[in-house]
Amino acid sequence: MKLPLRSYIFALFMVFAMPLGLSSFTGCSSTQLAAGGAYTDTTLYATDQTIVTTKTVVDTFLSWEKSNRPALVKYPQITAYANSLRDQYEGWNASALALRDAYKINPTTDGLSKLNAALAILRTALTEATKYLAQPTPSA
Amino acid sequence: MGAAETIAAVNAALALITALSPQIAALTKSGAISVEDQAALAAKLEALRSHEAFSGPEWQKD
Repeated sequence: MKLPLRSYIFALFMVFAMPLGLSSFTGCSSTQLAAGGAYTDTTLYATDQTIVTTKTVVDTFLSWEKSNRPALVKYPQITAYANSLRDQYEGWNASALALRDAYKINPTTDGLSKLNAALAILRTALTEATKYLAQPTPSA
Repeated sequence: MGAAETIAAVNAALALITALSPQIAALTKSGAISVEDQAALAAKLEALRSHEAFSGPEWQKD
């Protein structure tokens, strides 16, 4: 049986991107930090990893969408989603950073809940961008 | 599926792998996150506080 290319791309995503992004479900990380570094709190480290990794994937998606637009005319939803990210992502990123900074200063349960909600929005963007990266591939 | 779409699909996979290669490399390291890796992540995060991080050509609508 020959698997579609889409399956391979999703497999790559599951193996690499998802662990990077989901490792910051704060409170469940087993990350260990070397002493003397920029971080003393694994929650903040995992949070920053999610924010940075998601931005990397979104940058990749937007660049790819723009570079391959002629080949993507059959998939207008991809350009539509890319444009929605161009409109909204900076605000989502700013919200996550603000809540991250607030949690760093005052690490409360409520603050953590709000931070996780903001990170969930970024994770959705990560998942959607990766889904669209995989879309224009053979389905059979 | 045309050749252009196939190329686009391959480009997508390559772009994702290339973009995430530093994080993938970090994942494969054993032991604690090094001081250097912590500094690199902190620097990347700080860069995202600027509007310039969202002003590259890929962020511009046509």
